[in-house]
Amino acid sequence: MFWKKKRNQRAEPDTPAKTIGGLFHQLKSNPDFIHFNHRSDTFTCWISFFHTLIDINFVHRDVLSFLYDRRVSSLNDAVRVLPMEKVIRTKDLTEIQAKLLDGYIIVQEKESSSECLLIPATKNHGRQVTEAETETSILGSHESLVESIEININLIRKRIPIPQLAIEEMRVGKISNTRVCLLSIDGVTNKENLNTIRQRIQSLEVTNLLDVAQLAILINDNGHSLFPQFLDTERPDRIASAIYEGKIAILVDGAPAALLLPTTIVEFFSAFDDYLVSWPIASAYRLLRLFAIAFSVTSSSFYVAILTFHYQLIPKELMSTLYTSRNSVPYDPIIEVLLLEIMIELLREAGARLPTKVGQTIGIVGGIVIGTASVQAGITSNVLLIIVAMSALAAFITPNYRMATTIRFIRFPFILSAQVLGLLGIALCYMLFVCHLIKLTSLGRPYIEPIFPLRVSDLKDAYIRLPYNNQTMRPLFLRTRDPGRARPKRVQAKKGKHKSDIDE
Amino acid sequence: MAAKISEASKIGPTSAFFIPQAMQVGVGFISFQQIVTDSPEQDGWISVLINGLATLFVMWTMLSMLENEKKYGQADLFSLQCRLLGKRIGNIMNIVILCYICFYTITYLRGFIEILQVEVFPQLSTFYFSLMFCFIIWYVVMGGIRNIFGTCLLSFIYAVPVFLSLLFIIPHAHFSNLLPIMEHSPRAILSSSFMATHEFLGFEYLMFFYPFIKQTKHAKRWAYFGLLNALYIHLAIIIVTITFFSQGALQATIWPTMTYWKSIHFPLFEHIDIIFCIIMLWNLIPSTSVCSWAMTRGIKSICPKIKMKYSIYGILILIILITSLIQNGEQIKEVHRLLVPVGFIVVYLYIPFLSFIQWLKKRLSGDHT
Repeated sequence: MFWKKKRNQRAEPDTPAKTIGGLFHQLKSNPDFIHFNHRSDTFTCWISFFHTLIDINFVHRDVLSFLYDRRVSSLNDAVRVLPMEKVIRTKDLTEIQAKLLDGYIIVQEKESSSECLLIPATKNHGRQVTEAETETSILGSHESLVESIEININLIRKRIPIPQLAIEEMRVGKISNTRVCLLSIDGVTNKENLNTIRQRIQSLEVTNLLDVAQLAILINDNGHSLFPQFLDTERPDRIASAIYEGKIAILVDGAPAALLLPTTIVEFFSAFDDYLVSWPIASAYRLLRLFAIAFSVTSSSFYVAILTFHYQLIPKELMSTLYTSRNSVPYDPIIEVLLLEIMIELLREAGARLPTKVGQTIGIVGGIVIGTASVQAGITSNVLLIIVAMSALAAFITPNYRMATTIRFIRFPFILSAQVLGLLGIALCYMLFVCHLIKLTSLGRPYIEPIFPLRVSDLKDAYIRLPYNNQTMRPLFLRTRDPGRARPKRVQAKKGKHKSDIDE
Repeated sequence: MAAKISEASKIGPTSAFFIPQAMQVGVGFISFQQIVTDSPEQDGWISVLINGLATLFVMWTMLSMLENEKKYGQADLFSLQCRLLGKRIGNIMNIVILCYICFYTITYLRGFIEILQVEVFPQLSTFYFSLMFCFIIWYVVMGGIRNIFGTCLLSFIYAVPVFLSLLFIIPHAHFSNLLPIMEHSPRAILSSSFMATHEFLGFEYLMFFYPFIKQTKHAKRWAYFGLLNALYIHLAIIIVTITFFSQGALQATIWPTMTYWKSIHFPLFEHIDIIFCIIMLWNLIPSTSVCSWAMTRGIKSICPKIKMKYSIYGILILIILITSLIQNGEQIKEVHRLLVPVGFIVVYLYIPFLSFIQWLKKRLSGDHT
């Protein structure tokens, strides 16, 4: 169709420059582009760069001072003299353009000559490595990823100092050409997984890619699902341990987080701290978290269902408490619940968007003032206020923020179905979600893995965490090429030193 | 000839345990005690035991038949019938089997809706509930046999607390109720063991998904184990029921399991029976979806042009309509009584008969291997 054709043409960036002269002509209008002629007795050259992309001190000290040297009379001499390990000499215009925008300096003998020297002078300007903000931890490392991909790779390589750590770089985005890196360990990571993810990233059709979460949404298995299918984390220690386990990590330049894949649903509910405390405590906290999630999703819908349809479920003693607290409320339980739930959602959203100091004030005003006032005004009951506040608290126990928002969202279908069919409605809604989870895959691997398909050996590190010497195998789920984590025989030998009696 | 089954849609050998398990241990165990103890009274558990052991024999004939069939083509009931009985009679028998599956599903679905209407929601509309329920079934079946296997497995896990509830009854049990043993005539015991067929129906569905199992050698053990587990659960329930109720009270109770759930109290929940009833709803998903899936397979084998993803709509609409046609408890009882002889004929007579024909055909063709 002719109109479609036109639209497609418009989507293309301005026509690319054909010659190096054209390129300079195109860039000249930019105020930060510097292009000048250097003349000395022995050597004449054209130097061009973006002064916003390069380290200007470095250029003055280590590039220009050598170029202005008397010994230099040609580009060959310049290569010999320059104190850099890697000076590129090329005629390829696309490479020149890409490197120029990466922060390289271009040196030519004549302005129109296509042969150039490319000298790296990139300025790494970004945030310092700081404490993890979204996934805070008390025991583990306090470093977190930053926006620069070099620093992120450095943080991970420090933790995996082996030559088998394979880093594969790709460019995504028709215009933005964002750097995307796949990190895995040769000989451990499943080849099939790597091929799948590589193929998915290469076949992406996007103009720009700015964040790793955007990439996760673009490459996931089911785009309509409410559940995040890839785990995103900002903790380098967690990334490193996942890579050791046989997973793939994806880093995107400009994003302070990494994707770990494939992932199962239980990993969204495990924190890295679980691996740093003894196993009974870690297991207890994991179970607490799971209980909190179940409570958070179903508590207010149970309130609606029981008070609307099944009051025979409540024991007599509790009934009188509920009666006194709901005595002055003029609405049905559903109206009451929706009012409070939406209010809490508003508070959460306002707290997240506002600056930290104002956000705290909002939290206090909302939580205390509005909460008490609404009870005193007789709009909601005390009991419900407790339930809703507790379930909001419980939802944020989830260590992963994206999962926490999912948990907070799926309570609304539960509340509505509880109003329609009571407990039966909750059961039907639950069934629909579980059937969806059974269907869901992450990189083609089952999403609720240790439960379905049932793999007993993977249950050791899912809902509970057993001691390390019980976990001699890597997760079956990842289908790693080296399934053993430790040699079971040696672990057994260490364990098997039986004493013949007490005190012997 | 049916299309070859891709490796990706195959399921592990444990499916031979979980799928028949989900089909067998279903809604029936809420009500079967009264029917079984009708004539043999306290000896009812012997009838259950006899029937349960008989299923092991049927399973043996079924498995050996399917294993033999592998040489000739796809080892499921539909293509097996076509090969043994000829294309025309085979297809007629396929339609008969389809009717049986449909009948089985509707009996179970309507039976459970009745329980919900009496115990949880008196005003529940059969039509709207089955409509909503069939939407979930549609979603599960569209995901294929792997998904259905997942629901079977989860239903087994969810049912564990329901069976553990038997422990609450033991303090109230009078084990002397079981005595005297073998007081009744063998005729009474056998006739009630015929009535217990209803409880053990469902394992014959292995014949539909057998070609989808990956390592059939391991699956055999799981299949027998599943039957033994179903037998154990039913035996435990019937013994607990006989010891909990007196014979007079038992004959007057329609759903004895519901009645003893009502005797359990927790500080936070008064009526645990409603909760259990809703947990048992989970059991309905795998049984209904296995049935609908088997029906779509059957339709495809009769008329290969109709794709499974389209015939599922027709099947679900049929199920919804027939389910809402059955109106009251009397009709449901009638339907349940009808399922017993039909199921008995299919499982205990027709399957051994097919196996015999297969053996005969092999003999006549002179293939002595």
